[in-house]
Amino acid sequence: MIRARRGFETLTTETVGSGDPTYGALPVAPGVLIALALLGALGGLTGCGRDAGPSPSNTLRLAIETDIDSLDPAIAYDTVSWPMVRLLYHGLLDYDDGTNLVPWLAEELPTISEDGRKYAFRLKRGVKFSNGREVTAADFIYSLERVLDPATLSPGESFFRHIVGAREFQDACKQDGETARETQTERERVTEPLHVAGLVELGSHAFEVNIAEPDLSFLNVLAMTFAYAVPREAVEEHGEDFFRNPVGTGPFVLTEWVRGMRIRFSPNPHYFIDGEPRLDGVSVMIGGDTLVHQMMFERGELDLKEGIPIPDFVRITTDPKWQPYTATAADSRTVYLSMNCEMEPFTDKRVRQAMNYAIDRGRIVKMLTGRCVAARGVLPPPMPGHDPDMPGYAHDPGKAKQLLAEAGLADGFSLPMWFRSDTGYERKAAEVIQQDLAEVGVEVDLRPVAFATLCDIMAKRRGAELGIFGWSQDYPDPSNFLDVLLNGERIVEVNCNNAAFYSNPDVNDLLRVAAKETDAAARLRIYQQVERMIVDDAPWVFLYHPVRHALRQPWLRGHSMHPVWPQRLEKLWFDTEDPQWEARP
Amino acid sequence: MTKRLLARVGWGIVTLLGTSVIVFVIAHAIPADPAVTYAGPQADAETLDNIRREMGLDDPLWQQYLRFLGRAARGDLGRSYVTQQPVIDAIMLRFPVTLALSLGGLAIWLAIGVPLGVLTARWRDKPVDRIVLVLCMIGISLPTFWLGRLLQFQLAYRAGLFPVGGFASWQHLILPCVTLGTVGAGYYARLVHSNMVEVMNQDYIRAARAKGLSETKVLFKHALRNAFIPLLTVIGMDTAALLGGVVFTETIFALPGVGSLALQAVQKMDVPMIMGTVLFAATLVVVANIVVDLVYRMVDPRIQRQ
Repeated sequence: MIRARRGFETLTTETVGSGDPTYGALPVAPGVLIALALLGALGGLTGCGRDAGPSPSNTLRLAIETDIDSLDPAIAYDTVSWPMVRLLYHGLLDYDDGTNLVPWLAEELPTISEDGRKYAFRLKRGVKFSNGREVTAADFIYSLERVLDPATLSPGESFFRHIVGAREFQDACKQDGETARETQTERERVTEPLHVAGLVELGSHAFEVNIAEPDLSFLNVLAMTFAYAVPREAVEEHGEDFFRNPVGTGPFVLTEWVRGMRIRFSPNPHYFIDGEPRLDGVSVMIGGDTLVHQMMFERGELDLKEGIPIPDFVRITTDPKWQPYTATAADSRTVYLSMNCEMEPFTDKRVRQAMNYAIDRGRIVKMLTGRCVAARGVLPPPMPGHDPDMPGYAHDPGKAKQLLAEAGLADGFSLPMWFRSDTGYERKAAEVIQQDLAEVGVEVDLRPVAFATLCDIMAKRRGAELGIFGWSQDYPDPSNFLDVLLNGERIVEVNCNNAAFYSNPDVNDLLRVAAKETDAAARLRIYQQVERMIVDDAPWVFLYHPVRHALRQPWLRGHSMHPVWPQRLEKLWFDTEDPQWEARP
Repeated sequence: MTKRLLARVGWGIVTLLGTSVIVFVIAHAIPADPAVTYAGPQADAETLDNIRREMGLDDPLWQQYLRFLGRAARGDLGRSYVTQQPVIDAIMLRFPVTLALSLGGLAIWLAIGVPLGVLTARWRDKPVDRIVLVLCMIGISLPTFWLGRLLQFQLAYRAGLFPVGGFASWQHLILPCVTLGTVGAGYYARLVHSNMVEVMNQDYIRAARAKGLSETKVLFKHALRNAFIPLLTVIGMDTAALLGGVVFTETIFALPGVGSLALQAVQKMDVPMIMGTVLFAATLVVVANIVVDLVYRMVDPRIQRQ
């Protein structure tokens, strides 16, 4: 047997003895068979969801690498899904062009009680779902309860757990689920309480949310996509397939979603803002890598492209043709080298600080061709509370060696270093780190793994000493980094967001104080103090904050980089007067 | 014959069972929590516990496997952890693309490979044979990802003769089929060549020539028809392997086929999708084996007699 292997595409060949002249006839010529089969296959393709006619010219064309997980706002929890979820749904609050909250379906910002625990909302009137029914306060209460219901499997339920009565509601839901499983009947809500006590309807267009402890970041939580309004009747009609039969208040409705191939949106006839949306539709191609998308964009086949591939970066950013249409913004993300503070040798603060002095962040930034900025602390630049005067750690191998010697590790040590294998960023950073650490006697063995595997290893207690991890904001509040990632009181055995398993009692106390502080300025000052303490303790090597890029065609208008949302597609429109519009393929 | 067929089907089922066990064990041996795959790395521990319980992921592995097997026997391969889409739906939605790409590639293999193989066998050790041999070796040696990117860059991006990627019409299949076909054509040319050389030395070929038949008739009617029989096995198995997913070609040209589906499943550690795509590919190979076996008997009755 001869076996010719080409990656995953394998040819298997086998040579056997020759035939006899009498018995050598094939019933049909092989070419005819293949041609017939090919025609049949192509015929089959026409039935797999392709549109009858061409897309309207006023349709926004985009491409994404892999299919989105869900169009259900209670489920979607990634930066690729969010822009599309926002085409279909609205929430109570949104952000202006920065990180300031503004009313969206709420008439105005909520009235907050003196003790900071009660948020009273009034809704705009005349806002309709795409099924034509008007949105009421009961819809928002239902949507929040739906996120909290364990049966929904919402990854965002933890954000809403401190609404008064949320825990009791979840326990009751679980009880109903257990009963249904034991008796093999359909799940039905019968166990008290049937509703979340802290969500109180005050009228058809007014309701209030009560939270257990004052929390200034709660309004940011309510601006997350998880809190967008969904109509109960549509959810109940479609059940677990609601994610692909969305009904919301957004400017568009879903017209086609061929999984793994394309998604198309068309204008919502019931949209509450006259004259909007200005596009005839949005068409999203699914599949292909960033290189394919870049070629398609440059040929005019896409109107907007997020990110610039590594091989094209310098060419595009220095090309006068594209410079005016290239948008850049710092990402609210921090990439760090996590050192497990419960595992040797990182139990010693001097070793952690030595690691910080040993690594040259400037060289990482250079290797990544300027697509990031060096990190000096935990909080990324767009985050409220980011401290531009944070001293951080300068590259100083001599100081690193001295600290290692003080810690009794003058001869260095060796460890595996884990990082995700599916992005070029982390690999390049890992190679720089390996070289820099070798200079101070620390040998690291590079271990690239799938992202899911990295999460499993790093988030397990005593799972790994060293690994490159990253965190993107859920909402623009420092608690979303400092409290979630570095509060020692949040350490759990598995799936721990505090991957460094770092705990400093003073930091934990201050985080508790900051969480309850109702003066916004005082609260930010506490978080800045906490960040400085953490930087001194050095549970991470603070590596870099990525910089986002987007390319748009000259005829596309309304585009800007936003510090919270990856893209705000709902704001885009075409300038048909643009001189290059006619050349649009 | 029926008895033999039943035995082959029986062994096919055993093969698939074995495959399912191996894939299930490997998929679960890799440290990756399906609840994190579903909910994302930013979900908190309590949320993940809830998801694990609701999805039955906290059951013992053998129970999960038996549950999978029971559903698979009824044609249900479960739902993707990532997209919640039924796995069988995802595969069947993408299968026509892979089918068209595979058959297009196969057609090019045969359309180029067979004539070249015959030609070089006819003029064996002559300059044309040497030149074709070098070309075939180049074709076989070209990595799919390199040739695909090159064709895409030059013919689609620069010259604008074809779509760059994606799938909306038959034009989107031309470059991927050419990529796949070019690499395989050289291989098939060498295969046909060696079979033809062997056949051309047989007595019946000398007899055909002695009867005064034209060289074209000798080559195509007598020699090629016999040289083609061993090729049936190769074509059958190659077709099955291609239909299981043409990973590189599909990925380069952004074709939504079974191969790219499998690749994404592995990248995201989406266990039901990995199980589904591997079992689908394995089933194709098992079925192709049985079909080749049957067809072989039909076209070569000597085997039947044995």
